[in-house]
Amino acid sequence: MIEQTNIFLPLIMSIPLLGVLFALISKDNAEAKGNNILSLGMLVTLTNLLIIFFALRAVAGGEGDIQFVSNINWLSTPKIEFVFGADIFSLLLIAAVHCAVLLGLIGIRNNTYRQKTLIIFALLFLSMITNYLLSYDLFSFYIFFEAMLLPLFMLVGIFGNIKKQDILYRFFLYNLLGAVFLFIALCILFNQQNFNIQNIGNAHLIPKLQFFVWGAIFVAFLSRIPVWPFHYWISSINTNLSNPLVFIIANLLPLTGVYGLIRFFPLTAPSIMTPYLVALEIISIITMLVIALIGFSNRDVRYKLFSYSSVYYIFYLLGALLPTDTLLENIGFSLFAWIIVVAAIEIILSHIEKEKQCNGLMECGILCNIKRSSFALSFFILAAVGLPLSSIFLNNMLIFAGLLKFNLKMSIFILLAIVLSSLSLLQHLFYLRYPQTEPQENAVCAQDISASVFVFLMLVIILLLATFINPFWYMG
Amino acid sequence: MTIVRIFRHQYTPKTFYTISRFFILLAAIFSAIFYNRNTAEYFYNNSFTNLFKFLIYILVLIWNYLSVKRFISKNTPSFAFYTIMMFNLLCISLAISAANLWILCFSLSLSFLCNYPLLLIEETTKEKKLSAKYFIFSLLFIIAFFSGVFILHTHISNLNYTNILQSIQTKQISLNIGLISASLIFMALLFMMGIAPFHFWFAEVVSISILPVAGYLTIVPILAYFACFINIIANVFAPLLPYFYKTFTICGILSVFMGAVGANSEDNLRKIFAYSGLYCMGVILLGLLPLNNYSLLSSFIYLLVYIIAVSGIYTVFYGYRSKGKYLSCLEDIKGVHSQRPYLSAALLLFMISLIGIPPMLGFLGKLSIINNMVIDGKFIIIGTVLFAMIILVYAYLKIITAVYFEPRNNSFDIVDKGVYICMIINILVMVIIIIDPQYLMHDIEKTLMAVLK
Repeated sequence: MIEQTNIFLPLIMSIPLLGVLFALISKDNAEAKGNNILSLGMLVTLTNLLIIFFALRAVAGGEGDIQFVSNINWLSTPKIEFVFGADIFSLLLIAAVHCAVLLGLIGIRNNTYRQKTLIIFALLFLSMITNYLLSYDLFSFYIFFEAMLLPLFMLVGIFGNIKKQDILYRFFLYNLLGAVFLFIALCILFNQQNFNIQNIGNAHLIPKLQFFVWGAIFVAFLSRIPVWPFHYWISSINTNLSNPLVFIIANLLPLTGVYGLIRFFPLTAPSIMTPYLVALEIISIITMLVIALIGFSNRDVRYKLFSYSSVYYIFYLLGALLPTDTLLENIGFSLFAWIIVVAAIEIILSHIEKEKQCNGLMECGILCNIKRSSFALSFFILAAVGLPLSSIFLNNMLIFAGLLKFNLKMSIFILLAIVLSSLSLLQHLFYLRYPQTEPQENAVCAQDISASVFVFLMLVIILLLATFINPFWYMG
Repeated sequence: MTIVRIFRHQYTPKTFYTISRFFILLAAIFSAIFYNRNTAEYFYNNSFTNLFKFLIYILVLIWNYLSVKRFISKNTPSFAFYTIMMFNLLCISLAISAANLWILCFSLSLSFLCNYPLLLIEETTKEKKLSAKYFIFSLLFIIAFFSGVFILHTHISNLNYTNILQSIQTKQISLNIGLISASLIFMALLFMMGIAPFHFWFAEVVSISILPVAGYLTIVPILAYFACFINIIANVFAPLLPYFYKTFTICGILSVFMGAVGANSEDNLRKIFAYSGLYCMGVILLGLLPLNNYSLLSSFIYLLVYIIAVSGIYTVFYGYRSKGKYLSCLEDIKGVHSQRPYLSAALLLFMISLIGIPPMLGFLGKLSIINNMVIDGKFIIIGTVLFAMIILVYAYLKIITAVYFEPRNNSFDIVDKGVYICMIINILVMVIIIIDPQYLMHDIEKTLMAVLK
């Protein structure tokens, strides 16, 4: 039933799911304080990261784009075959997602509220998104695209502090509607031929149906990206998330939309898709500018981070949809560092937020007395805005050069949005670092991040620097 | 059971359960022995009828096992429940195997009327009124059923299925007569299946009855009515089917919408799932037409997936108990997750399966039925079904919110091990089928085709 050529893929796909099963049966009583389950979550993530690292090395040394292809014959009538495979792009994203979740797990080390539930759903989400990023056929792509919604909904619902349930419902239904569109499109495509997603551009459909199918795919993936005017449903969720792990996971959702559009939209797009691509460009530019402006004017740091990440997701998407495949690896390298950077910023910000609330401190100048947090946050924000500290710097320059080459006017607007969103982060860093008044001698100080967390963050910083010095760091 | 009740001095709820178990197994053995045998043109037993009968027997066995726990914990007599239920089962079995319209009419009517005394078990005044309403409506539709059969009988002496089919094909009876009698019979069958606009009784009945009865009525008879419905449209009124396409499509669309909207207007869990059942029945009806190999297979898979999920949900209801009372309101189960995490996780899984979100089993049902609709080019119906599904999901989200997101306001009783056993078996069945659907699809396809001669 299963044809496979390598052990990497089954391992990468099954380890998070095994983690969920172990987490289900592990003890989470008052004595354990959630530490057992947290250790399990970290072990699972680290183990998978290690395997992904070896898989990356093997893929880089191998031949062909997609490697480790595994076929699973699921159903004979109608014939449905699941195809999984990996290339450098997908493996880099999976590695980044795992790193982000690992950072999130570190961020919740002191959490005692329903830790078991939190980690079970987090690992379930990790499993679904990993499988999604490894999918190479229509059905497995759809299955994991939709399946990851539920763990996310549970995480946001339980740990999100969402006051109005309606916002939460709309968020889920909005995303589900997108998945429904994808489902219809793939049923139509499937009845033409059991398509591998790489050959999807070759589907022979009547023009009306082709227009509908591409439209459905377009809407499905766009529903995951906070595009104007629907960004409100996603932003209202993200900005309320005080749990760092849940914020990081929710922030990974647009990645699935971006990845879907990158994978589905063929390099030589059929002419019927032209109206969609034009619409996508217009919507993207409007969204980037609107969200960047709101982020810049908003004082809420979570909104700033949300606006920053939304702008960058759309930037990567526009780069990926250029009629060239040379930028795909640059996007992969940049996204790898960028996802980690955003996750790291979130855990430091949530630490600051917690200290602020516990000690009743002012946010302004809070970083003055917490040197470790100050150093780490400064590094990550400077890396995030594109200074030469990680692979974001060089790769974003190349992506932007590509955009400039194909559409000058659009690139100017993109640059404006990126500058605005970066400035909003820098503005907040400045606000946190420099107090408006001189600190009093006996004033209560915020507690810094622990030495162990700082060491871990230093390791992340070294990794990011390594990606800057040599993008092929994983090849040794 | 009656003999045991009269002559045995001491009996417990378990006594009647044991007897029912014995007779159900006997019925299963007889069904196997009489496989592929016709009895004087009144009954037949082929792979199609056996499939449904065995499914029903298995479900009844499991349900009886769970029901006895309720009677023991409440210390109430179980004689009425098991006796009526067994009689109902007999009527259902006869209806599935019927090869004659009179037999089908009598057995289905009897089985449907049996529900009335079931509703009266441990009744209150309010329940009495609703049960009486149910009885009156049942009688009306049964009269319609009998009228349809009687009209045919006035024109054809022998109401054997094959004979009626030949008479319609050779135009021995006029088209109008055929259409009138078919309309009356279909109306009664749609009423029994609880399909809109004849759905009004089902949610009420399920909410007023005790848990064993509610679960039984939700899970078991629907399989029998579905089998009879297919048998009738494939082997009796097949030439008239094109005349009913539009009617069935309208009924299906109405069911889908009323189910989705109705579920959102309720706070009672049983009513929510009753409306959810209405949605599912609507989808099945829409997927069944035009009746061919693929549509039959996809509808059956959807039905089976629905039955597996809903039986799991009712199993969970056995675990949701506080101070000896079985809870059925959203308000009562708030925060149950914190005290009964495994039950709540199971409820979540079954609900996902009902919605059809992958990777749960419901996805297979949704896929097979929507894929079949795509082949038939029914894009508007697909849009309708999926749009209604999103409305229905809203109702499920309310349940998830109550179970997982709200703080607990009740102390829940210890759950019987039997509930966990049944729940695990149900989940295992789901997992096995989702990992390798060939177990479900391959043999069942051949089995179902026996009805399409």
